Amino acid sequence: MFKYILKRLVMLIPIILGISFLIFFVMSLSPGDPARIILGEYATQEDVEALREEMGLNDSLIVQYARYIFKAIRGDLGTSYQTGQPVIREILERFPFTFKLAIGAVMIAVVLGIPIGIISAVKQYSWIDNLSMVVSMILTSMPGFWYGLMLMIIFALNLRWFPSTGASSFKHYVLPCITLSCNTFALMIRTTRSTMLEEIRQDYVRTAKAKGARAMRVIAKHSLRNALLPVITVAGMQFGILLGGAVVIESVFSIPGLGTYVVNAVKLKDTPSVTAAIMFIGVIGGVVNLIVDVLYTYIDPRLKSRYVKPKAVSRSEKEAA
Amino acid sequence: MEYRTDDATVYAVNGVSFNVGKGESLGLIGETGAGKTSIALSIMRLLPDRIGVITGGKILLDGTDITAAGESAMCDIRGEKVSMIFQDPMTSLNPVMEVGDQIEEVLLLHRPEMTVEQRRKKTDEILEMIGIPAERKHEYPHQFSGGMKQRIVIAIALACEPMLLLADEPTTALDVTIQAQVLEMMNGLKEKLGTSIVLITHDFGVVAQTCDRVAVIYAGEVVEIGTAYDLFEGEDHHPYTQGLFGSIPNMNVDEERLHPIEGLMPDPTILAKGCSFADRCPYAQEVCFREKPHCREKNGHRVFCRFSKYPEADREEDVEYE
Amino acid sequence: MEKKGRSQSGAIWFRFQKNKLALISLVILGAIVLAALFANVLIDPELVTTTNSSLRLQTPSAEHWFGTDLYGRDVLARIVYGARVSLTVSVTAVFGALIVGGLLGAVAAYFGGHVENIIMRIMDIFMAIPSLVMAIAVVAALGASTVNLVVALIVARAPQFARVVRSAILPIRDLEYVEAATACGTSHRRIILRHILPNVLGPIIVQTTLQMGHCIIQIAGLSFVGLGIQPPTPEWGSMLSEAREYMRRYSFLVVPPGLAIMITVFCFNRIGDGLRDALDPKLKN
Repeated sequence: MFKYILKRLVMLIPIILGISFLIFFVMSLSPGDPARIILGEYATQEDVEALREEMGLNDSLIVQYARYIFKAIRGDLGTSYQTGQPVIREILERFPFTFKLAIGAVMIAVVLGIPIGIISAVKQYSWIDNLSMVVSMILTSMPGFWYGLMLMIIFALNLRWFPSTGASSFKHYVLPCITLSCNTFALMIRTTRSTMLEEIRQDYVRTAKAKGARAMRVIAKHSLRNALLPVITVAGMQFGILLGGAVVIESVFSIPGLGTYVVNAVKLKDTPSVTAAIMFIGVIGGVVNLIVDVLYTYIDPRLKSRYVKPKAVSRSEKEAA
Repeated sequence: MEYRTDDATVYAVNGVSFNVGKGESLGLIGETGAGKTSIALSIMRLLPDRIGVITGGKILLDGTDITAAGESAMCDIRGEKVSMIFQDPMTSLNPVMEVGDQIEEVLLLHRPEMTVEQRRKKTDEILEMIGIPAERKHEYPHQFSGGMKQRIVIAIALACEPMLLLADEPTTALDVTIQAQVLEMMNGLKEKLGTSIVLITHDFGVVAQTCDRVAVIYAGEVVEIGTAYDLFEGEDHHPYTQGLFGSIPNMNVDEERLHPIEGLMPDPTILAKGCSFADRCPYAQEVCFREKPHCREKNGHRVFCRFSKYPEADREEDVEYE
Repeated sequence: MEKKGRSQSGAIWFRFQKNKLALISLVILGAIVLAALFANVLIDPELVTTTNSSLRLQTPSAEHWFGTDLYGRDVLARIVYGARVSLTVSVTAVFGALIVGGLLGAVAAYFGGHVENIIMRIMDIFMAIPSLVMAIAVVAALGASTVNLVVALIVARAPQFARVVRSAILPIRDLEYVEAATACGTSHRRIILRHILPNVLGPIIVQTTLQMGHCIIQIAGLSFVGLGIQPPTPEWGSMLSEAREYMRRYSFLVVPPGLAIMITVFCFNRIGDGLRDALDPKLKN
């Protein structure tokens, strides 16, 4: 198992390098000269040229990228043009907000979406199934930020149950998390429903019924265990997408996370901050996908036995020896 | 019983009547689509929800009619008094559950008085009985071969020593050497536990090896029923049975070619007024298309054809066991 | 061949029109497209941009069905013209992505080997980055404008098309009639265009329809945070951004642009689903 995880980690390296190079390349396309931006409009051409040389901007893109990555490994992602602070510190300051938001959204989607999906599948074509299908269709058609604004009008401005903006307490996160989860929630309902419908029709379910197990037990003990595996994977894969979605949702609720940071940095043409922050989001998303993948292998016995030796086998092997 | 879909109603089983005695094994033989599995599923009351419906008749188990039983009562009967083995062992086991747990689940459901220890011991015994080392109970289905999986499925079915075992083509998915092994095991268990068996198959060889009595099913109806001896060596047969024998190769007679039965099974969405085999029967007369044939019987060997040499008998309506 | 093609599309239409929700969506979307096309005939373009401080922030009335915004402009007029902007940008972006991604996917699937490996690994990396983040990166590099927004959306969506087109081609790549064409000495380009593309049209049509919906939401999202279409161009996302400033007292301004997005996207999604079921009835449920 350890070997397998190690192998997956090694496979992650080219992906991380690829993501970071891609973003580095895209950002290098920006028309402005970073040296000129730092020194300001009135600096002489010689000064700009000298700074370009000093910053290594005259080297080829690959060399610049290699330098960037080696620095990044040592925790140096450059300095913000705007604040003069190390970018890594700013990112680490803001990331917890975004992380909490994304985790909260995944939790809501999983905790509410999976049971609704199960009920929908078990009671296929009932009113509850139809209702949940309509809700999930509407949720996937809604722009998240608008959904957030509507929630804010109803629950923050009119009912005053929750604060409308900020991120200083648990209550502040309720509306943003619900907002961010809307797409994933709908996706969870649909995925759970369709995998459950598939599992309910499997032969082993008939075997379980033939044993005399009651309907609830068949669902809980047999179908669900099989259906949950793909559902959990989908949920995990959503995490990266939610980190991206947080960019817009954070600005709806004025949460000082990585999303608002990126948006502001883009508006202020603060290239080092934008590059680093977007790379950070991309890489975290990739790492989470990996973790989900490894977990999945561990939960599913069909895959597990390919990488881990089950105890029973090794014991009977010993006896044979 | 019928299958009702949006497009049509399929009359899958019509007026089938037979009984199985204690410790006896009855073979149901017929073509694919004749309604054999539907009969078994009706007895288990596991017909597909909202689609499969039992429209009439009785299924008597130990004297009580289970067509009237509620779902909860049926849950107590399934696995405890009546068990079923399904056709494909590859998909019949839960892929993410240890096989030991899958066997133990039956005990858990029907023997609540047993302690955890007793249940584990019993599971081990069952596994040993079907020839699988007890220490392999923590493995998952994909770690076993097809024949072993089918034996595990049989173990599940026999865990509570049911009165009646319905085996739906238990050997079709297996290769020939393992077929014999599984059939032998079922025979052995029948003798040891005194279980009655209904064996569904389309293989005469399997019938000859295992069954005391045989019912030939055609288009959802019993066309002939008798002991295995009656069927293979009896004086008279239903034309369909004759056709079936004609379509299997005979090793003792040197023949140029096989004789398949001409034509196809009748459309199951239309209930035949006369004999359902009339369309394909070489001896069919005009009357066969008009009226249902009578039951002809001699020493318990029944043939449902008006041209049979046997004398007429009263017809029974119910499906009965024990 | 010709006749078979027609009866096939007839069968697809027959299955599609059985899905009432998809059919209704098609009608509504048709109306939205017509309104967007003939916006200048229906509504005086003056209403969209002319500011009038005496008409600021009026609640909905017979004259202004959805009320007026901060600058006294009619909200309904801006919604209709907004449809024009959203649909133009998303159609351009999706078709751009379709051409770029589709060609990459087709080339990868058709040539296989190293070409396929290199293209698909690069696409994997693109796909590892959430499309919204990718779009933001492009906008960040190029600056916020409508043209750059289209470029950003193409870059972010092309990999999806590459994957769909590739996986649609793979199963038919080795089929006999393609081999037969190769044996006859037909050129690569000709085989792709004449033999393979007609067969992958189904999945492409479905993907295009579904991507239109996603694209409209992303355009609105980017414009909402100020990285997309810039004011005073009427766009649903930037309208919401403006409305947000005054939503404490004038919440009626928040509703229409969002509803417009939702209805349009809903129609695209339902049509996409309907087409998928109609094109491949096996997949249903």
